[in-house]
Amino acid sequence: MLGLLKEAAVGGVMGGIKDVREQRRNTNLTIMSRNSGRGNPNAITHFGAELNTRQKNLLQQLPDYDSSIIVKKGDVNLKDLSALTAETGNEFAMFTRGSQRMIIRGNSNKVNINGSMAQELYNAGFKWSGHTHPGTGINVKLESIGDKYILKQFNQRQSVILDDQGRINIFTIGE
Amino acid sequence: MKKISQGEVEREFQKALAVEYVKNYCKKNGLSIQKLRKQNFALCDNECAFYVQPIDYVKTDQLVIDGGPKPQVTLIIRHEKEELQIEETEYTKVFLKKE
Repeated sequence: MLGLLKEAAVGGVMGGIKDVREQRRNTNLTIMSRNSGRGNPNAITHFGAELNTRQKNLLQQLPDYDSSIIVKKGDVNLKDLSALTAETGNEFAMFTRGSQRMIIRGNSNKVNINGSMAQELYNAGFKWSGHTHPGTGINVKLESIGDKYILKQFNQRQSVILDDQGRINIFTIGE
Repeated sequence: MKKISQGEVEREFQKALAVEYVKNYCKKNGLSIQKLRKQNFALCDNECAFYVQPIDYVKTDQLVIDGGPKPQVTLIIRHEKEELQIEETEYTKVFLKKE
């Protein structure tokens, strides 16, 4: 459908435009096809938009609960994680070491990283960049006891939680 | 001297403003400001919340990301259409009722 609209719009522009009204209509169609909301967590949640290509590639490499990958830092950001949560309803956690990022897929209410695994990741040089929660609203973006405990294992004072619209809460723990 | 980050100072300030805003509401509805002050506070986007977390949870070996008891939101302040709205939750009376 979208392809048809795009073709229609391009055809209209290329084929010569007879009147202003038609031109306006075609321009609007072109804009619509360019702003499909692909990859935008909010659009995925509310309008069923698709993941973008790099998000689809990430999801292919993270097919099940507990699957993990390491990618280049530039190949994923927290917004991508939010989009994956909007698409799957699962949580995702991201850890960063230099130019690398590790992504771990959880299920609808947890990511399987316990205290000793967190310490191993910390000893290997990873920092906990953040994780996602399915749903929206402030209660969704609050940290659990588990989150605070895991953050301590990373010797960090703060990390972030994103909901499935890509909205962020920075959570902190005391010294 | 204890070093306090700018983020921490800002969060404390946000919480103080929120407490001040709900003071009258709490008085009218029999909710304790003292209890509210002791609760956790978070602000994101157009809403902020006071919430509690069980502190006696000791099974740390079982804790994972998002494991353990979930935070319980007691009061929400939302900014919509240029107005602030206060919203109670199922935990408001449980954790904030005056004794």
